[in-house]
Amino acid sequence: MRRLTLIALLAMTAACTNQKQAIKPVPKFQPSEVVANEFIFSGDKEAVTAYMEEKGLKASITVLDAGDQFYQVKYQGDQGLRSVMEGVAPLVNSVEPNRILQPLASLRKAEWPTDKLFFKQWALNNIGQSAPYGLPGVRGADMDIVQVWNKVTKGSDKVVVAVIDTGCDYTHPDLKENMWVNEKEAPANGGVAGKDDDGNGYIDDVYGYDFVSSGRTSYKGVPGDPDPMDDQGHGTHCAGAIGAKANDGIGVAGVNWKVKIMCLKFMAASGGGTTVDAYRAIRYARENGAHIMSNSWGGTQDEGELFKSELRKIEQKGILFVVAAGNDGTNNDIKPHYPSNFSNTEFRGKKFQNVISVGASDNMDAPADFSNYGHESVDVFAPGVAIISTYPTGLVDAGRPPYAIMSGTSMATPYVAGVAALMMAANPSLAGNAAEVVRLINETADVREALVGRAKSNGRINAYKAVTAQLAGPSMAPVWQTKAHVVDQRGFQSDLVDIRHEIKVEGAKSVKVHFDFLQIEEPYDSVYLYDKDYRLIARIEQNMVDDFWSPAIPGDTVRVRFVNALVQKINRSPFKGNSESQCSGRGATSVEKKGDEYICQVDAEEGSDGGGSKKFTTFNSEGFRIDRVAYISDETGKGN
Amino acid sequence: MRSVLSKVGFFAVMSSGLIGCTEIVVLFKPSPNIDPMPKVEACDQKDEDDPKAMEQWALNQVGVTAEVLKSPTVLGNANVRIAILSTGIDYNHEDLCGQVEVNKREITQRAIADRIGVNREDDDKNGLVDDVAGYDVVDGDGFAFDRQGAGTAAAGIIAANQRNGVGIAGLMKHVTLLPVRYIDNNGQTSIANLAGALDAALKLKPHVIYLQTAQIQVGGHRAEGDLVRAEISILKSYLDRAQTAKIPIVVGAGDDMAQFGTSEVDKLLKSYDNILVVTALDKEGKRTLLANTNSQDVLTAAPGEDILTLKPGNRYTTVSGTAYAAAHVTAAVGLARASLADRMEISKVVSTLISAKGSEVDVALERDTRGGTRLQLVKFLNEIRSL
Repeated sequence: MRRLTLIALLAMTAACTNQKQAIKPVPKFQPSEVVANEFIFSGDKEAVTAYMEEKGLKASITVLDAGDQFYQVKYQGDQGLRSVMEGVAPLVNSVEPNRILQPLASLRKAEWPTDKLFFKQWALNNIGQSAPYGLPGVRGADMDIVQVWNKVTKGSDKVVVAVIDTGCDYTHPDLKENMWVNEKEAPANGGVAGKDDDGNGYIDDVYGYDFVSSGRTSYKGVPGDPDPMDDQGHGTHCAGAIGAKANDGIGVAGVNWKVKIMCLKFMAASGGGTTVDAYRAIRYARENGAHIMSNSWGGTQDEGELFKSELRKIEQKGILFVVAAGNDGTNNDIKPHYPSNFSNTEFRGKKFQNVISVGASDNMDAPADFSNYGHESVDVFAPGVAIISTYPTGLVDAGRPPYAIMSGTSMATPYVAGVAALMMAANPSLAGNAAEVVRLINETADVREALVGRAKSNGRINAYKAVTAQLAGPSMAPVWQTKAHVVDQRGFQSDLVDIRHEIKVEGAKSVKVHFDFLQIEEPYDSVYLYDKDYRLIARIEQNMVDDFWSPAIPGDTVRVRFVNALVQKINRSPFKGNSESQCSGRGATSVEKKGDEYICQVDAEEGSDGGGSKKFTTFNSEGFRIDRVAYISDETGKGN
Repeated sequence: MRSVLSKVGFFAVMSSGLIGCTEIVVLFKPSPNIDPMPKVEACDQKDEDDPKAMEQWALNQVGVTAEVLKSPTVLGNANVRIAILSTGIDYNHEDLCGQVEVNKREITQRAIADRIGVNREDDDKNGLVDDVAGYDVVDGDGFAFDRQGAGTAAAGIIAANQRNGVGIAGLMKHVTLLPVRYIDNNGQTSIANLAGALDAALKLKPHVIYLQTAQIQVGGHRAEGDLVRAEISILKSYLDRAQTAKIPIVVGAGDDMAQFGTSEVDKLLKSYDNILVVTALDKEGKRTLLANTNSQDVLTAAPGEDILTLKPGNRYTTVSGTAYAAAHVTAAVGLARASLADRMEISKVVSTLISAKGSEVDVALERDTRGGTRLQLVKFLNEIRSL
């Protein structure tokens, strides 16, 4: 309906251009973007006064600029703003709504915390400065954190965030004040070394615990040891994003000026950990009072029963489980990535409500190339490219500041955990209500074109809107319409194939394609789906069921590409020789000495028993067939 | 039906008692990341106002009025080759028709028949394999297609089609842009990529190099002294080659609210007399909040905030940054080259850009730039042509 109105108005403008005064159309706006029952006009005040009286609207008119005759009108009643403005428009030179201006990034240094490196923290305040090691970004492509600090909260030491990672440097000058301390075990409070003072089953767990158990003797019956010092760097970087001390004149600012960070180490210096150690760390966080768990790790394709059972317990306590979507640049809807896919996993007949899966975006609100995504299985994006944060003092050269710049969904995850902590600080009833936190974060995210179709929220987290719960309003569930569209690419023989089809659905906002036949064999054949700008949305490199819907591809165009590799068939036939030169003389690819003999590996042509000639081979590909597409048209799901 | 055995390796015991096997080796598989083939259709020959030119305040600031756009002042020449070292260029943008080089010598008939487009050989023997549309150092292919936007934005300022009835007007009506992609889709890059880009650019034989300003990590994660020196010396070897070839390089001063010339890369850049460093101005002609400055090492100033230009996908956007100020100066140098051809000398370009006759003097810029001047394209071209 609205579209029709607009076209009519534009046509009228065009028809009037030869006349002395054209009627300017009423500007486009969403009701949520403007102050209700208010508008601004320029022109004849008397005419507007008369119009408002005629319509029975009690109005007050204030002068804004007497010289150029700009006025502000406030009226009472239920009359819709658009219809009033459309009525006024023919009588005046211009009419516009009184817009609610979104807070932009803070350009005023006086509003910034004093931390020396704050300028480099584009994720917190993007004013168009260069990202470390990169290009300048887009002003405002940040989490709106400064607004939260200035207007709502700077965090609370009652909120406990567990960092499940490689541990942290709890002595770091920018972290030590925000570390969670197990009061009963702390020596300052009379904790006795070697004794489980608080009876939680862990001895001397002052700052958390180190659960790395591989190749280590257990410490008095409990695997690992009570010192979660970070010997890798990753965990300390994550901890700094959540709660590096702000406004202290050094280093960086965390999302929270005040918070309690519980350090749990389950990954070793090599960067790896095990399921059992991860499980123990998560269980510890659950049993010892964490409200939020920040998990910047993952990668298995297997769900794991132990994990699901523990996650349900975490869910029952209302603890938020924030988890990185992964750094493979792949679509989690097609190729699952755990634990992040628990955000879209059913267990014992019910989906997990407390898991939020996080992708990484850059300083232009575009998805990071490496970031995993998925309209069903990733919740939200957060800054994760060129992030500066704390680094263990023991891992930097003497005299160099203990800070580092890193990129990854690992960096985006603690930002979301940090924002969740701010939400709980502002509204303590959210602590223990993880499902509500997930819902609020997703519904208040800033929707960005480049992120549409890549996360449930289609956007990047906005801390200010999440903390103040400015919901975007009820959104209409999209209606998918289907139509037939056949792309038949079955059964052909060829060496090297790279076939591209373009499917365009006029007026569509988002398109999915349906395969009724799909036989793909790794690593030889692949089907790739791209959007109109050749952004890779999905890669299908394994067999899928013969009734497979692709993920949603934003825009009106889907590019389908079928690729078949160029392959070579080689017979590897070994023979024995007496010297190394005998082997190399026959073109051996490898030589192995066994006793007095040399074993030579020779690549041979199919059917022959030796020699170095090579032969390409062809094979049949079963291919795929698309039979129909589904799309959301531009008309549906649009607000008034 | 497909024969599975032909694909999956199987083991066989050979008569000698040794174990042999048949193996299928993937020799080549096209990358999942693809770039579109450049369009080679003829461009519309129109002479109509560009509908968005009204919003291009930067044109007026550098003296390029509607009348100048109709005059031969900004005609340029398609023989002038400008390498754009950035995020690539959307070479199929509707407002860049014919401005980006399509290297037809790398598009072979066999390759087209195979639908791959390229043949993985260096057909034109310029040292770059399949450089169909510039060169992409990040992906290692010959299609420098832009998905980030920075390179297309710079290209639009320099070369958006003038008076074609579409979009905006660039500063050069005719030019040949050579896109070299050294910054990834998230705006990140490295010394290795930059060195590779300079190498590729030199192989593409440009007359002017535009270098997109980016902060670059030197010396790895820990900024180790030895590594810093090694990386800077690699970069230096390429910059030396550009200097020897007398190719001017134009670069923005950076956007860190700081002095230009403190980082290791900046220190190297400022030691070359063929490298022109530019800071950015806003609509009022004042230096922008973020733009880096230096009263010695920054040469001049040009528009670099809220500049209307091109965005990939036939779209338009406004951009900010010293890189876009540098794009204006790049076009000025390109136009000088179009007029003077081989007679152009870098030292004269530099002295004219900061002379009272070839620029607009602004005392407010005295502490920010060497010349205390801002770009005045028409004055600059008149002056340089009279030399």
